Amino acid sequence: MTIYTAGKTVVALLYPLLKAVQVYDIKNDVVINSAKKFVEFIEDLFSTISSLEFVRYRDYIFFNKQRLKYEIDSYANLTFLNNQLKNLRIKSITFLPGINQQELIDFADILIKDKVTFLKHFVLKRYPHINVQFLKAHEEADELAENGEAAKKTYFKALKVTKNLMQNLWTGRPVDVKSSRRIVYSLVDSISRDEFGILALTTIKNFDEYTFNHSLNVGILALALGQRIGLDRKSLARLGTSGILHDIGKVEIPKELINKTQKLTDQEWETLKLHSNFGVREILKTRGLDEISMVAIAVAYQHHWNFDGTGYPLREKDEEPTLFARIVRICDSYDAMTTARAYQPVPYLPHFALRVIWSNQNRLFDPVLSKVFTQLLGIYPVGSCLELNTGEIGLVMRQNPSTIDLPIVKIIVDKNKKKVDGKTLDLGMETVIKIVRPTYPQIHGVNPAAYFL
Amino acid sequence: MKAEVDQIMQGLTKAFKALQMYGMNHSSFRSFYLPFCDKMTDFLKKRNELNLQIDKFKILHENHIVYEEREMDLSIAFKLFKDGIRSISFIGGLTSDELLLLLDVISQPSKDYDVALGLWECNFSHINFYVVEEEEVVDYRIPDAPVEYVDYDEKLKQLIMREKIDIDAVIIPDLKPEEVKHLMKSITDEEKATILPLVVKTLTDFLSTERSQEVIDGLIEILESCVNTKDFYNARRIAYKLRDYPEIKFIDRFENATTIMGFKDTLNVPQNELFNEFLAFIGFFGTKSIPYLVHLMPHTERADRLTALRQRIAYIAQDDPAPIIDFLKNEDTQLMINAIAIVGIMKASKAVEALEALIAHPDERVRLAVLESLGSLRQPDLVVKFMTDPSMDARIKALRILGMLKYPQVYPVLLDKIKHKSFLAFDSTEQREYFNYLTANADSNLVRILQNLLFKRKWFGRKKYRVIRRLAAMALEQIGSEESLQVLRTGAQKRNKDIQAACEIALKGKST
Ligand SMILES: [Fe+2]
Ligand SMILES: [Fe+2]
Repeated sequence: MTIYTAGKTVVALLYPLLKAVQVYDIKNDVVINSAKKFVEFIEDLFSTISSLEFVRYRDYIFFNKQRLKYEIDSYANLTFLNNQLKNLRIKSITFLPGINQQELIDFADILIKDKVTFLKHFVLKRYPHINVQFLKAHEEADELAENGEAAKKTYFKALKVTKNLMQNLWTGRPVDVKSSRRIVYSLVDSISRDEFGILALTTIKNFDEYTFNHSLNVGILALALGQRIGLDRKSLARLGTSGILHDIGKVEIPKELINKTQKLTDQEWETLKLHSNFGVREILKTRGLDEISMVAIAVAYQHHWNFDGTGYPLREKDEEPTLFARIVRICDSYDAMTTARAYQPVPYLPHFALRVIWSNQNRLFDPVLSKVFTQLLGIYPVGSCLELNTGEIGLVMRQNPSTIDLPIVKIIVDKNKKKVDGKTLDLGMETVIKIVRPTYPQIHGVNPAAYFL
Repeated sequence: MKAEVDQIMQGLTKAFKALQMYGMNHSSFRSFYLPFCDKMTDFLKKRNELNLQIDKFKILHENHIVYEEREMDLSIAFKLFKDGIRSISFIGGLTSDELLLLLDVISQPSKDYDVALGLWECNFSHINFYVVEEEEVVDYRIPDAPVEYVDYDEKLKQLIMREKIDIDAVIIPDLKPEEVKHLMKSITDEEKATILPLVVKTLTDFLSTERSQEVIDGLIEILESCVNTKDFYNARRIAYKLRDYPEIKFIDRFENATTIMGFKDTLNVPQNELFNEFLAFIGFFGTKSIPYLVHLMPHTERADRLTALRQRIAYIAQDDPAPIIDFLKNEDTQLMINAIAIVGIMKASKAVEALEALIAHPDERVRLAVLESLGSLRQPDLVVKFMTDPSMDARIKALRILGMLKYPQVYPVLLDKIKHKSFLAFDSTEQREYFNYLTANADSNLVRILQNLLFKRKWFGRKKYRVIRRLAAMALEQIGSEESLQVLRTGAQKRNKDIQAACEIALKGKST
């Protein structure tokens, strides 16, 4: 067994134990059995490895120096462990030979508690076969600030690159391929460091220059979804590029048509639909035929193909959109719905848009991807404004990995309808404060995007 | 510590040079690489980290220069520096594979290759690097949202009505195990699938709606790479589409000796589909390619493929057989034979004269090919000349062809030959062939003639005539008319043993 598989298995065995101690008493059979399995497995490992060390570094978990990748089958385990370690400000945990079931259960029991409780118990009781190192104060602050800053930097740089690219195509000027290539890699890095940091920025919409922000947002959403299903970095780079370029064919459509506020005539509608075709040519013009652009060409051509065989451009019966086109199809619809545009001045609320996607799975969207997309954004996606039973308005800052309908919110309007810089609440932990309903930020005179900058 | 780092850098320099010179699979490279790798891992075991700063032509460790090379093509520092890499660090746990990948990336020769992207794609766990951004964007302003005076609650109700969804339905987005499996499968499929067929399809679909020079150029580019990689399946699909644009001369570029002789290996690939795709693809070639294709043919090992290839070339040459006919005068027998076969398949009547000139060619294989083609060209007057060919194979073949061509003029000639005593000297195969010809082209007189041969008194007791009697009896049986069978029955009653036996055997053949 490789170190990597060993690490993945250890995390996979730790997760049910932590879940069990959350729910049951530590004397319960479920707890004991999962602890037993864990100990048996690591005892075997100790015959070849002298210690098992988990290090958390910037939302990555390393096992004996091997980075464990977030894959579809390990995603839940790793995010849970990562979040737990992050909350407790733990930098590393090392299991040493000689550990028994009781020591492990006792430790698991405090590992799921809050920071104060954990520290109290950890100091009181000795854990001879478990070493824990904590983050130093500056390390923690650095990490959050760094992530936020880096995400912003990447987003705005990417926006600039996207804008330049499209404007240059529009006006027939040469395109800077190198920077448009590199920016996708930065986006992938940003997503893998902290997906919520950059996902939050997709709440930035631009009414006047819809296409630029839309293109980038679709790229980011696609990357986040791609990461969730465990695509490797190279695939992510292709997916991100494809997402950003999906509507590039629109540069060939008259601007008046794109910005038209009245209902389009049939003829105009047919013209607009051609952007899927034109995308093929524009990508060829911009990037030639490297491997990434070939993938992007297919996505641009297929991004309006529905799961049930309908959509445009017309296709033959046996033709199915590629995985990437199916991902972009969802992200494109979501961002389009949640954005105010010329012919849709009032956008859909994020949670409502997500429900539209949910209820159109199988018809318009790949059902499995729709599910993963919902897992990713939660019931109330980042940027949603929630009316709380306290009369306050909370802005969804990020998801709670374990409870998808109870996100982490920041109070931005108090009960007297005054804008405030309020505290951040984890609704998953709150017992009294409840969500009444999602609401339009416009009613409260706020722009959610502003809070992420 | 400086001494250790110096050693590592020397090791790196040597390994890098060896890689550029010999490539990764060469033992010389290994002999430089392994000590370097050992030094690096030893260092990391002790100190857990090695941080290096990159300058234009220098690499520094803790402000000491540990590497310097000012020759751009040779300088590791410059290769990293030019793409914005300003520092690189190695952490404990570094594997040999990671180090190899790193060397592979920095030794990429192409000027357009982006080392920073290359390193990024490697996704190292134990090598970190820092890349400077060319320009920073500091303006984080966001556009104002448009101010609309609408009743949002009312609007939301309308939207819910329009989308016809239950806004309060419980959503549980958990994946079932089979859904996870399905998803994993589509991911691996996606990673494995070659994107080419899809792109070809997309581009050709595009052309169905609109003629676009970019798309046509793109297709030609793919076509070239398909031909280079012998992907004739996609090549054919592209060619098929491009044929709609007669003004685009997309096939010219392949009609040269280098490209066509490059197909040599394809002729003998084990997979039939691959060969057939190839055949289909060269169907798009024009007359210009014929001389090269003819030169390609002798490399075909399998007879069925050679035939298929000849047919394909005949198809290509159909409008103008001249380049093929030119080969009928070629000195190379192999080329000549192929050309002879092709003009036959083409039924190129212009070739008859040239073929006639070859009837007496000293090489039997040439004559046989000529005979075959004259047959296809329906030239019995010339085929009949092969009845006196020194080769029995040729004579037999000629006889068969004449049978097929229904050439009655030869009938009395054959009869005379059979009746003549020199016929006895013929090989039995050839004798049988004569009788076969006669029965196949039987007329009312034949039964009588055969009867005479069968019962010929003059031959009584002469062993060597037995064969002829038997052949005559068989022929009668094959004619199978009431009259001919009657002759056999009569013969079976004869007292002469030879006649009796011949007739009985023939009749037995009838009953079985
Ligand atoms: Fe689109
Ligand atoms: Fe779009």
